[in-house]
Order: sequence, then C-alpha cells, then structure tokens
Amino acid sequence: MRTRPEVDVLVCGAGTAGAIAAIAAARTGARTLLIEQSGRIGGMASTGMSFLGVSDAGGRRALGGIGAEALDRLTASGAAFADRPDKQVGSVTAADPVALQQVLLEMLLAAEVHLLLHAFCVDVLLDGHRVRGVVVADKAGLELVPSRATVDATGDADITARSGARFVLGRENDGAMQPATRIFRMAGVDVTAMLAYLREHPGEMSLPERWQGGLDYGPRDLEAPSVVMDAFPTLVAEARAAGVLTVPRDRIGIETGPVPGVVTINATRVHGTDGTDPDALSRAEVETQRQMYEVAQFLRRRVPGFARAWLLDSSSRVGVRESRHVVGQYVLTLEDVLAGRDFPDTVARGAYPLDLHDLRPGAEVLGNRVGGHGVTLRRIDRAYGIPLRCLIPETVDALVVAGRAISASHEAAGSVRGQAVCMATGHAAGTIAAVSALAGIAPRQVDVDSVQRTLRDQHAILFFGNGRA
Amino acid sequence: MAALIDASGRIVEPSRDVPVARETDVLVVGGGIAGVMAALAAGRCGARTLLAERFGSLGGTGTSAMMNLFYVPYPAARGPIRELFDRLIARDGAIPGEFVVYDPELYKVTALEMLAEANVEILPHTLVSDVVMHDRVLRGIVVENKSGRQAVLSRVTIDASGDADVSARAGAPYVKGRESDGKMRPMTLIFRMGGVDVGRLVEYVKAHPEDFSPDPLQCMLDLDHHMIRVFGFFKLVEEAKARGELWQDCYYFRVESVFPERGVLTVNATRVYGVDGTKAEDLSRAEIETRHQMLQLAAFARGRIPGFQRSFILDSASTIGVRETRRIRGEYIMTEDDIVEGRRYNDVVAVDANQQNPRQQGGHPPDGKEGGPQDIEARELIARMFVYEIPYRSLVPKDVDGLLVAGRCISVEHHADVYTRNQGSAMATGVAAGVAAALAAHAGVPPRHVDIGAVQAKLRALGIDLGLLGRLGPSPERLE
Repeated sequence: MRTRPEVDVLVCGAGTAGAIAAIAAARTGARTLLIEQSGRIGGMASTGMSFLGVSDAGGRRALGGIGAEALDRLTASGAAFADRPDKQVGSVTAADPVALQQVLLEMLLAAEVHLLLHAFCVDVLLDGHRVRGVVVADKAGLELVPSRATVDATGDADITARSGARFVLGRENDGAMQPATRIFRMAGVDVTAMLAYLREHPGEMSLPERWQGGLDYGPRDLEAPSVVMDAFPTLVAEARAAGVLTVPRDRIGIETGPVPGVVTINATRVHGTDGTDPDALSRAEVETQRQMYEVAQFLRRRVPGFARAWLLDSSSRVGVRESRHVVGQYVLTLEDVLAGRDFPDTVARGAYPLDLHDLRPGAEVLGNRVGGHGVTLRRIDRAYGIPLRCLIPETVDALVVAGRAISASHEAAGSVRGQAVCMATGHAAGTIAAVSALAGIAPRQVDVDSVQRTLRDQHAILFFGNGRA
Repeated sequence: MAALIDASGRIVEPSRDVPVARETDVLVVGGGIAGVMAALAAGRCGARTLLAERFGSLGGTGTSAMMNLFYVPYPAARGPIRELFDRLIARDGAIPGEFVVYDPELYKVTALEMLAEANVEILPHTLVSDVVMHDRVLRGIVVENKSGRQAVLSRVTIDASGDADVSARAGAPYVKGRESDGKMRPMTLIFRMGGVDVGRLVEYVKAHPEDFSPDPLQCMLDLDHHMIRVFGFFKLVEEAKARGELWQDCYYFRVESVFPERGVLTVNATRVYGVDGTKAEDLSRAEIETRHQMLQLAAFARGRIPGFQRSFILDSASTIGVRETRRIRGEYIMTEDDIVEGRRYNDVVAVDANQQNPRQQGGHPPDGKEGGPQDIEARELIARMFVYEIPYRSLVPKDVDGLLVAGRCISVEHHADVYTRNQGSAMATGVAAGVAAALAAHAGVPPRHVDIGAVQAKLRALGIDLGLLGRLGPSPERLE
C-alpha cells in the first residue's frame, strides 16, 4: 500500500468540528493533515443553517476560540449577522455558507494545515491499542496515512468504531436515532412579504407544545435582522389535510440570513435512519429529495412570499443528527446539560438547545409520548461544561473525538450535536491531539492544566467568571 | 477489522472475507449523467440494476460540479434524453434551445423519479476501491461506505465513473490526457452569482462587441428566449490584471446558464492547469486554488461589469469539475477525423451533436492561455454544428470482459474528446451501454459478443434515432 509521511495530528472529517480541530492542532504547533470525503470544507455548516446557542439563554457567551473567530470574521465582512439573543435557542448567528467555507479555508491555509480532499477514511492502522493512522480510499486507490494522534471528526465515529473502541448506536435502551433531514435553500423569496404574513398571523409563529411555554414568538421577533423559527402550523395542517404535503412535520423550519432573498428550509424528515447503514442512508437520500420538492411546491403555492421562489441548493449529503456515541471515561448526561454543570477538566462549553426531533410516531421523548411530527426543545439557561474525558474513547489510545459523536447520552447528544458546540469540541480535540502528539504521551494522560491553559490562550471559553466556575 | 503493525514493524492488512452486499444483473458505477442514463436504459430493458454513486445525490458534473447546461441542442435529443428534458421543462426546470440550461436541484429530483420508475436501485455515498476479477472477467467491485468494505457482484458492470476508475483497476488499457504528452484539460470550480441585472449586462455586451467572442454560440444575447451566454470581457480582464485584481493566467470572464428573471447565472471561468483528477493531492490543490480565483472573479464582476453591482456569490459547486483524465483503449479508438468527416459505423449505438471549431482545442487547451490574445478559437473563430456517430466498439474495453464504459472515458483520442466529453455524448453513450449491458446480462454473453443488431433495435424502441447523421450529414446548418 502507498504510504504517506507521518504527521503529528491527523483529522478525519472537515465538517464543523474537524475544520476547527485541524486549525487548533496546527496553531498548537502540530504538523496537521485534514482528510475530507467531499471537495469542500464545512460539512453541515455549509448548508446555510444558522449557528444557534453561540451564547446561552442567560446571555453568557459559550463559544470562544477559533469557532468564534471564524464567525467574527464573517460578521466583520458583512457575511454574517452578529450573534443576537433569542429566548428559545439562546442566540442566533446567521451566516452566508459560501463565505463561511472560504473563511475556514483561509484559516486552515494560514495555519499551514495540509488538506487531502476527496479521500474517504476506510480503516484504521492499529499498533496494539494505539491508533497509528488511517487507511484512505481515494481516486488513486488505497493509501496509508500514519499519524501520532488522530482526531475522529467523522460525525459517525467511523474511526473509533473501526479501532474497536466501545460506542453506543442511538438511544441506550432501544437504539432509536433522531431522524435524518436534507436541509435546502430557496432563493427568489420575497422575505418582506413572508414576514408581513407572519406579523398578520402571529398564530403561525406559535411554538410547538413541548417548548418552553410563555415564550411564544411575536411580531417583535420579526424585527431582528435574521429570523429562525418553526413556522406556519396552520398552513401546514391545511396542506396535509388537502393531501399535498406528506412530510412528517407539523411546521416548516425557516431561517433568513445575510444572502438577499434566500431562506434556509428545515422541513424534510426520515425516521429510523441509521447513518452507519448505507442502505438506510440511500433510502434517506432518495426520500428527502422527494420531500424537498414537495415542500418547495407547498411553499410556492401556499406560503406568501414564495410564489416566485426556486430551489437554490440542498446539502450534498443528507443530514444525520445522531448515530454512534463514543463511550469515554465520562458520559455527559441530560442533567449535566440542563443544569449547566462545570467539570474540573472542562475543555469546551455548550449552549445549543436540547433539540430532540420526534424519533418516530408514538416514541417516548423526555418522558412524553410524541406524535412523530414535532420537536422537543429545552432551553439552555447556563452553558454546560464538556469534560476532556468525553473526548477520549475508553480503550484506544492516540485517538480524540470531536463533534456530535463525543461521549454523551442519547439525550445530552441532542444539544452536543449543535454546530456551535461542534466548533467548541473541535477546538478542544485539536488542541488535545496536538499537545499529546508533541509531548509523545497518550491523550488520556495529557496534563489537563496545560491543555486548559493552551485553550484559554487561544481564547476558548472554559469557565464563567474568575477562575473555576 | 483494522490494518495492524506486527512485531517487526511491518504494516499488514489481515486477510479477510469481503461480505457480498448485493448481486445484480447490471451494475452502474457513477451517478453522473452517463450513469443515470445507463441505469435508466438497463432498468427499462428489464435488468436488475444497481447504481453506485460516491456523492449523496445524482447528476455528477451536472449537479455536484454545477455544470448546469446540457451541451446538446434540444432538437437533437431523443428517447430517454428528450424525456428528461421535457420533464424538466414541465417543471419550469429547464430552458431548451441551442443547448439546454437547467435547474440542478430539479434535475436531481427528476433523475431520481425516472430511476425509481425503472426499478433501479441506488446506492449513494459509495466509493469504489477495487474490483473483483475472475481471470479477465470483471465479476463486480469492492466498495467502501459507511458499512465498511463490501463487494457488489454483477453480470455486467458499466464504468460511468468519468475517470475510468473501474476499468483502470480491472487492468483494461487506457491513456491519460493527451496522447503526445499526457497533459490534461484544466479543472474548474463553477459558482453561481445572484442579484445580477441581466438586462443591463446584455445591453452592455451588445454595446461593446469588440470585447467579446464573435461566435454567436459563445455570446448569446436573446433575452426573449432566455438564451444567454457571454464569453469575453477581454479588455476589462486585462485592466483588472494590471491593477493586480485577477491572477495572471486569467484572460476572460464567462457566464452561462442564465435564468434572467431570477437574476442568477453560472460563472465558468476558474481554471487550474497541470492537475490530475486521479490524484487526491491534485484535486485538493485545485479545490483550494479555484476558491481563491472565485473570490477574485466575483469582486471583479461586482466592481467592473455593468449589471453586477449588487450581485453576490450565491453558491459554489460541492466538487471541482474535472474535464479530462483517463480514457479507455477499446476495440475502436475514435479520432477527430471520424467526427469531422462524418464516419458511419455498422455498430453505431449513439449519435450526438454539438458545436465545435474543428482541429482546435475545444476551448480548453491543456497548455493554458485559454482566451488569451493568441487563442484564435476564443477571439476569432465561429463554431459549427457536428453530428457524429459513436460505435459500440468504443464502449468495449480491450482485454477485460464483463465491462462497458460510458461517458467521457470512452475510447477516443484526445482531439475527439473535445466532442465526446460533453453531457450530450455522456447521455447517448449511457443509454447505449445500459441497453447493451442488459442484453448481454440476459443472454449470458460477454458484452463484446452481444448481438449488435438486437442492441440497435432496442435503442430504436427506446426512441433513439440512430439515422440522424445519415439524414443530415456531419455538419448541417440546422437540426431537424
């Protein structure tokens, strides 16, 4: 097999977590290689979704460091609207996904990260319990990429799974996973007309039943430069009754942002999709594509402002909210997330709301039976800490996990999976991997103080107030 | 299962049984337009058909690389190809004319629907890493996907990977790039701009004809029929370069696939030379370099071109576009002479038409300087329509059985590739390969021995017009 020269840190996956992890590792001084299956950087961050929970609902900033730097750069150039408070989701930062990809690319290149795009990680190289690199498949066949430390930012914990470390697929008791969604964007939308309709029909902004009551959105929320809400319950119900909308959603997620006339739509849904099963993924790709067209037709025909709108683009892969959860030395829990808990070894903070899409009709979610068409949402009043132990798989060495696959329960993962949290865990994972590779010790043995010091020097937010919690 | 380091430090991959995930009659590798048409045709012939694609959606260069223009005149399209166009038109998703401009998202959905109706099974997110051989017979492929490594077995495999990945791994002979020196045409990252005042742009181009290609195919300014394409801005580009606003190798700005009332158009003007689409390293370099070019071009357009003042980058392709890599060496190797002289074949299975400047470089020379002062093709010549046939033998690789190719990797010389690398030829060879594969699988014969008369009859039954060249000649004024 062809073999590349060894790198200090290898990052697998250039999505939200992996791109930030690679920048962090390189800035910490590691020779870093970032491998990505597609041709572009940003993964789910490049679909046009807003960043929610950059700050918690108490107004505390949760995301600092490299992720915040990327968003700040976008804001400075007019390609994003600055973080604004939101009563349900903590805060909203709407960004132009094209500009975001460019900023991430520039930051990667400035940090001298080496990029290998169009390459798929298919296997790991093991030396006992130590991951020594990965095998990639690309246009030239198979190739071995040796590394001193590896960051698994594949989202699905592909590297961790192939290394034999323990993981949990979906919910602990029954393996249920959050549904998959294809995010898409529509252009040519008369946003003013859409907002005017909402203003005149505030019921179309009413919150789903399992969100915090008493905090309904109202006309004042439409004054913000960007709007993020699950809207149009009445129009959706009418279309369902008329048989022209079959998507299992009771509302359409709409997000406006800095690109004129463009609205991001979060409305397709396929239940029971295992993102690690290629056949299930295939079915989800096909079904969400069908649904996308159906929803676009619904919007054009029935929702004011969309009459002349057209499908601009959709994410190049179906969005998978949940698959494998790595089992680390600590497993983050629902209580940790909702209580805003601190840990002595905190390396990142999260404030994305606990956001659990109905697993299927009749499933139990947080103790309630759900209908299948809704979303259960819990606000994060105080951003929670994420301990270093959640980023290190139990039994395998030289491997650090970033993004939605870190060690968290099914429920806690409903918040951990948010883009802003992925940026924070990506930053931490990259720095941990670099510190470990440069010192020649296993990630689980790195000195927590020195990792936290490095992260703070890189402006990551670990604790609130002076010192520890 | 992992690769291991043994006691002596050697890296070993333990031998393993590769699980067989699927067995099928016809396996199509690659979900670009050639693969879509191949799978559609095979499915319609009644073959159990599976399509493996590395991305999440269908369309390949036409969607993921954002080349949303079928470079084939609408009147020349027949059979399933015309059907695809008509379905898109019915959805307001295509503009028919000298070529067919389309909406890439609607095309993805429409292609999925047509394949579902033909009972074709689709396996996206699946990369081919190897082949399964029995002597010289290709029995299937090894794929890598979220399940790990699996085998897919088939009676006949169609290599519609664009890069001839399957053929190369199966040991079929091929050439890469230009025969004389191996050089390949440049790669391009396509992007779309929104917020364009197309009326103002057209007015400006009409008022400054000296700064644009004289070829009406390159500069189409028909607002009434929504057929707009602009190639040039030669002087504006030189001025911008003098100010350091564009890279030195840039000689023109080019927009196409214009949806005037949306204010949206596609920019096909980034270029990277000397890169090999079969190498991940080169692809990475091209992805990065073209993104910087994209920013320069967008800023140039906003600052210097009337109609672009309030424009913005709407989106960019999710993968770089690759024009040329490997082409198989098949039972027949088509030359440009064959095309220009209108050569006819007993085993004709595809007829395509597009406009070109014969004995030139097809607009994208591997040597660079495209659109520069020396490029007479860009600055002086006027392209002519060519109708040409493709023989079945150009789809059949030498030395390997169980395999057909479709799309840009068919057996042609570099100078014939100017005509055959386009989506029209990809569609036509796709349909032909799909039919031939289905018939060969059904009859249990190697594709090279399939009954060519039966293939042609089936193609006609699907609506393909194999007599077009015979009726019109190689370079007709108008298509019927």
